[in-house]
Amino acid sequence: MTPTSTTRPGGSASGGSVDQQSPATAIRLSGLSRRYADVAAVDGIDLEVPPGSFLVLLGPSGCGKTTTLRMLAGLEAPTDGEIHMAGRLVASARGGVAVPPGKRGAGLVFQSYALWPHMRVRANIEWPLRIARWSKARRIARAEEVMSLLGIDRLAERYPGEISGGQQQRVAIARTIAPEPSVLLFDEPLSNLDAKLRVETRGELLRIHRATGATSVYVTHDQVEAMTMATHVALMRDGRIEQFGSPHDLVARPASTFVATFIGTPPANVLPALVRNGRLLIADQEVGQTTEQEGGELWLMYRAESLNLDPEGPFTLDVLETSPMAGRWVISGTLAGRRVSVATAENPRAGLGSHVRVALPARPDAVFDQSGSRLDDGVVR
Amino acid sequence: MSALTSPPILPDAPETRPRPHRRRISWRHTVAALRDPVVVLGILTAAVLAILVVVPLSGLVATTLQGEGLQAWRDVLASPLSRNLFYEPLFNSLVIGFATAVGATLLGGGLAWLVVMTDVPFKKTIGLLASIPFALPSFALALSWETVFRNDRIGGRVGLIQDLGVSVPDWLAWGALPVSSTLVAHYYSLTFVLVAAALSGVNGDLMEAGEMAGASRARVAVSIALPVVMPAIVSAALLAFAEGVSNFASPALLGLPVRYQTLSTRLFGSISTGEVERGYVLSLLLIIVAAMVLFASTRFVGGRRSYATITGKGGRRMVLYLGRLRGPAALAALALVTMTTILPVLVLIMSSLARRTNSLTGGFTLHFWTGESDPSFAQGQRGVLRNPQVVDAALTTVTLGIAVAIAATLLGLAIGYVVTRLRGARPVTTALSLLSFLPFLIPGIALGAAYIAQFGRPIGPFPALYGTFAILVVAGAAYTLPFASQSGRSAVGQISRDLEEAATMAGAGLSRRMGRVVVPLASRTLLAGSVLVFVKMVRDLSLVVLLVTPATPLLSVLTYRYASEGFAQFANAITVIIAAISVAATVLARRLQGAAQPWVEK
Repeated sequence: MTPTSTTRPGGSASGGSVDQQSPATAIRLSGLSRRYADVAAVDGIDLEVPPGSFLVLLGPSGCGKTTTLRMLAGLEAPTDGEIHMAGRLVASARGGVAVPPGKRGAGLVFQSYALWPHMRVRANIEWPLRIARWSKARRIARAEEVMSLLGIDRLAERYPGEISGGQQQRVAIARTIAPEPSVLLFDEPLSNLDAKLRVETRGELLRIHRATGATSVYVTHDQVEAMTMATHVALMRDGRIEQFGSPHDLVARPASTFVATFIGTPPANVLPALVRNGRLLIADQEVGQTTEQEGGELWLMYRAESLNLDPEGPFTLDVLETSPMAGRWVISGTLAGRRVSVATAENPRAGLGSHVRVALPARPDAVFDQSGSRLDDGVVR
Repeated sequence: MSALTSPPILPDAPETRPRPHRRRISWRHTVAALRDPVVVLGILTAAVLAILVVVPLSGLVATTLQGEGLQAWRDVLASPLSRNLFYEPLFNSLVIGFATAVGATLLGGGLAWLVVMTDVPFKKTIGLLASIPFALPSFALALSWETVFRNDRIGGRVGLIQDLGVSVPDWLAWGALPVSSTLVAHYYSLTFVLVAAALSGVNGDLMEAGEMAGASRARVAVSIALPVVMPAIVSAALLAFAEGVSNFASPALLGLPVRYQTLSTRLFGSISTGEVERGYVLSLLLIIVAAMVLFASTRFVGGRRSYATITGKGGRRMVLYLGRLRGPAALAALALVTMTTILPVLVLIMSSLARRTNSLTGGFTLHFWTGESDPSFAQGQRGVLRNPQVVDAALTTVTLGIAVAIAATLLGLAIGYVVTRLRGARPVTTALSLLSFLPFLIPGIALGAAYIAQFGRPIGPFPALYGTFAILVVAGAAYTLPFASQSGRSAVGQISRDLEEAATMAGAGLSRRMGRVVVPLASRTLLAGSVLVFVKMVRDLSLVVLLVTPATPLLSVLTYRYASEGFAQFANAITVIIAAISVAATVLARRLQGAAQPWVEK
């Protein structure tokens, strides 16, 4: 059940056994693509998650995560590939299958909330049930139930324009879970909330996720949200999955320099190293030895906590800023032309424009080839 | 450079991936698209528009390309008649168009600036009155001008001034000046509304930033506010130009009697005297002139979109303090709006009560409103309120206005919906945008001619529509299409796509989304648009003047007939009725708008 397969971009590591339909699969995407004219917004992604998972689609803007979510919802049709939900084929470009959005058993929480402004809160929640032909008694009971689950009972007779942003968010969630969908889709639902409310709502969403038992798919560009909420993370870039795994996998074993520099607070440092006579050089300083090809280049990853401030250290960090973080201090600056963060126990009291000396550990935390893909750690000695 | 962007991008570019069955996929997409109800709606709407707009136009063109039509081209463009038939009317049309554009821009723009940007008193009154002339029929102003300034050049009754013994020169009574003046008095109102909206949408920050940079208020007005609202000013000026070139009522009342011809009166004359082909050729030329002007100026403003942004942060507008000029400015503005609204309507009412035509000294009577038939009086005609023909015309006019408003609004909603919501079917949306804009280039009287050319005879199993109520509705819908589609587009465009997708997620189909989400949310804008269409139809003369027959009497045509037969009192009385209907519709619409969306202003 633990997702350990790391999907290389364009590869099919997790797509190998797609032909056997496992009942333990809630969502399966195979070769899913969406092109607009000549641009591929989503470019052949494969993944699957078991029921009850909390899948986070993570990545920078324009990576295709929202398009993927909209294809899951049925608001967008794939131009290639297939989507299975709970073992049922709901979309297939080749097979001409396109189950309409309302018939997929999925609910979507919009980034903008998309509450119907001309309906009161209660009507916003009840109308979808009416479309689904629930009896009046059941509708009323269910609306009461979800409103009390989200603590919005007393807003029932208000219009969306009369309640706060946080309350609108709750109404949107209540409306989405009322028809008891088996899949909950979230499109950056927290991006319109202030920082404090965001943290609170994060916990609230997890509570809802557990209470409903639904499988959730959650789109965000905020890696902190991904790390705190997900059971499965798919980090996307340029329409492909850069790495798919548990939050722990992504932090502990980043599959590429992109993953390494996207995940973590602060993200890991990645420095370019040249191979000369079997030695690895960063800014002409030897940092290790390698079996790699002479004259080549490697990327070496060092976590902020692996670097040390050391007056005798061989590298100079031009300090940009210092910030406290969970009882430690993170000092950031440029080293050999790249941005680097170092975590220390003491406040370094170094401000913009000052210089500190940095020492690297004997071995890097990870090694990547010139194209950015992970190599076996053993290539560096 | 940050570490995030500089690690090398993976080499396998998407272009190298095989893309099998591309053709099959795109074919399948076409089939799948036909299953999308929005696509189907788009194709149906495009077909309706083609029938409304393309068919009559092509009928018009086809008629002039055969037999007598070819001779008509020669007559109009290169014959001893050309000067009278075409070149002189063209010159007159262009002069009137230019004068209307300049006058309307100066008056309307200046008034808008005064109301929005300065501390002039009585802003509300000025603003309200300034928006009324557009709701009045353009012949209301022409008729009241005639009532006041008519002289004895062509015999018959003279106007109020001459009646008092003062001689009125011809240039003040007939031709370019009175025609242009009445059109300016009509269209400055539109300029005012457009420019005032643009000015009040200008973000206060922009101007404050200018002031922070050390610019004086006057300089800010010229260097910042003016460029920002320039697109609105230019488009208003264009509208005024196009309307001035193609207007029929004013030159027909104030020019035609002294043989001052414009393209539209020439075209009306040709068709009503049986020279149908010549009329069609003149229609095409009028369309070409209007289209050239609009296209040329669209290029001129090309790419300049409106910068005005609505920020929702009202009440922070900078105000220019007029100081000692405050009183005189208010006086001038009030005089202007009074002269173009209250005064003409008063003149019309007074003259409809005058015993002797255009004379305030010959006593007053209610005969022209409520009088019984009296052989010694007005050739035995009854007062308008007792005249079954007038009552009939009033009913037909209102019915026509409502029918066209409903038809055009539904079409406009369909167009707006498809154009804003349909993605991935460009040919359909482009066709819709073009077709719905096309009637804008066609002056009303030319569109009327096109409808006669195409629907005046039976087509296949369909009977000839000429002389029916149906042709009026269909032509009216085509005529008002640009307005209706604009309002449909902005109505749907302001509804976030998410709101509909949320309904889609709940399982609602197209008709349900329309009925429960789109229409309720768009109702306010749609209603405003449909009232505009209604008013435009009720007061229109140019479109219907060629299409109306005694079987389908309309108030505006009746007015025109009475006026050209010299029954000024009847003409003026009916004009007052039209004005009352238009103003009542506008007021009613405001009330309804308030009631339609209780959730907006709580």
